[in-house]
Amino acid sequence: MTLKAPDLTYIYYLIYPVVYEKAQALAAGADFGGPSGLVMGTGPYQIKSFSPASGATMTRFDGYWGAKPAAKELDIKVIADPETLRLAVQSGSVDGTFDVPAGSAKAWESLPNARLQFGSSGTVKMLFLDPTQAPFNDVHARLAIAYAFDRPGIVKALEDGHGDSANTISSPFGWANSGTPAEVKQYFASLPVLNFDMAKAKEELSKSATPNGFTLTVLVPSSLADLSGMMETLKQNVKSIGITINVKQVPLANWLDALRAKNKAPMGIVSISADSPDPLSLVQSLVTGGTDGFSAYAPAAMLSLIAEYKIASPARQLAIAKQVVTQLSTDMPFVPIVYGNSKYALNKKYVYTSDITGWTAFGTEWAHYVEAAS
Amino acid sequence: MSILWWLLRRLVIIGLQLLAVSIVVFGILYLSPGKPEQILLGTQPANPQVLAAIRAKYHLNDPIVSQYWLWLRHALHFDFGRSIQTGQTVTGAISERLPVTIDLAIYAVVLVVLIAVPLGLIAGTRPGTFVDRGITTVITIGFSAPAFALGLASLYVFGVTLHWFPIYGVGSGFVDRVRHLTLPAATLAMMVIALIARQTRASAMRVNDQDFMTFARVRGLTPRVIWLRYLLRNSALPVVTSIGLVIANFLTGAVIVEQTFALPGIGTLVLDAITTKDIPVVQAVGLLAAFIVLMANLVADLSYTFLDPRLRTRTSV
Repeated sequence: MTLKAPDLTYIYYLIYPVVYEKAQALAAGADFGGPSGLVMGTGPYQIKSFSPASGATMTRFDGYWGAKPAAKELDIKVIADPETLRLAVQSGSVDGTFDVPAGSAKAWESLPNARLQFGSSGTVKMLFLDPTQAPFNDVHARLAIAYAFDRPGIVKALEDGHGDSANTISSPFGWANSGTPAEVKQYFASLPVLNFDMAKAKEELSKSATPNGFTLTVLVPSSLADLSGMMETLKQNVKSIGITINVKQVPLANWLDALRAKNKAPMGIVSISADSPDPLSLVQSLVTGGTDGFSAYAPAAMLSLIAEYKIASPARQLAIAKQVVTQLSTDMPFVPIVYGNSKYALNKKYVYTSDITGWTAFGTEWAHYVEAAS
Repeated sequence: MSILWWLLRRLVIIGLQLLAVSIVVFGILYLSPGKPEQILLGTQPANPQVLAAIRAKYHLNDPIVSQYWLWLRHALHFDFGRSIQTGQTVTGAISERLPVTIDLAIYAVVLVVLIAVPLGLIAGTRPGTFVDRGITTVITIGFSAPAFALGLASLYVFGVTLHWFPIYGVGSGFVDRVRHLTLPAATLAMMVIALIARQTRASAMRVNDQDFMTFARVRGLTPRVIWLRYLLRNSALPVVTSIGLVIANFLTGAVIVEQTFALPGIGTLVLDAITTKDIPVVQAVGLLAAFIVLMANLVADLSYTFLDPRLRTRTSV
């Protein structure tokens, strides 16, 4: 495989493509990946049966070249209702799940036979503000919104107390391989803190082109309660400075379509993670200069810095990352709200012998870390 | 003979009705917001070559009438294409889930008939008494509780605490499936028992007042003959109509019960399809739902001729 241009960050993307057996894929044809065609991969488990309706059954493949995981069989079930899922874990008919909904930690932690584990994730919940149209073509209007979130309160109420206030859209979770921990900590401490300060918000708004406020309609996905909740708190907070936000609940597909539409709404809310443990992974997927992305924010200077980043030395990459993130704090085209968490509920019969992070479910072979409790 | 002619005429009308529904269902792809090729692409990234390939594959550049004709021809062979979301054939997805929905609906209807009809007959023959009022109150409570609340409460009591029934899924084998579907069928039935019982009660009250009922009792006929041949059979007509609609409802609209008990049925399929704009699945299930409703009504109408001999000699029902 040859890239069109050098890109040092590409190495991380190699975890995403799945390596599978060509002969099996060709034989399965159009049914490949479906219930009748299945998939033949290279991991420690092989798929015995799969259907979007009933879930998947995987058995341990004893011819695997690497370490054998403890579980002989993995039975993945589909349970859409979160309450039913919790009752299933309580009754012992389901051993574990990654799907603990935000805000329900209290109910899950009260289960006598299961343990709820939290970990950091690279998820950033944030607003997109369109800088090409009123009112957010004025940086002061954007900064006004930035000071209108009670971030610690949101973490407590909507993230079960496990999460962090976000002052930038580049989560510290992605800086694990860049610089020393002390250096990273020092840099993040130097960024302007986005306190919940309506006086400051009012001051910023008065410096903008719309000092008396404005009216907006924002679409939120009805199935993601945390995003709806954050938008509702913003709506309440900015009433006092003359901004009226109409929050409209829509199905998931409509919300996604609106985010990607050519005619962007002035404000959108999203929960999004970086693709790789790289400080600019998320930023470079948002600041693209293209028209089919989530944002039209694309200053030429930042685009050339991002291009340079891809071929720079590690020291230069760190410097560029700091420069870009600082510029984003100044321009505020994306208002960071909070960093989310990862959750894993597991029956006390088993232990998870590693940390739960944002990479656990899709970036690691998590089944290796599930072992019987001694 | 006249019944056969009636049936034939009725089947032709049903065919025409399904044709009309098919036109509406085909149009969903064009009535939805967004270009058809974009919808058919789903969440994958779009570029001009991919969109052109989709347009060629689905014949979107042809005149709309020939597109409809192509779609209809495939539909008559039960080929509705593949799900945009999962890539599975739509017929495959539906045939995987239809047995679950059918089993649940049958189980629930059996419960409804076994519980609601006797209760209604008893209440109808003793109007205004303590028994009548007691029955009406109890069934109205079941009717008033929302399905998910009833479902979760019964899961907690009978599943988690008493361990009598499993929490989710459909089970394999007849006995296991009956065990798995008992709580969902009971929840589904609760919603409707009050309706059918009250209907039966009203019908039974009317029949009970008739002279032939008094005469039957005076003649000293056995309770079995009075209840079954006289009371039940004469009260049955409006009840059978309702039960036909109830079956159609259970087969197409049990989505909340399916979600609460994690049953992979048609309701969940169509809910997911609508949320993710999976148009081929929505089209197929829409047509299926129309077919189910029309068939349920046909069976209900046919049953009249068995129940009421006076209707057999008429040329139309």
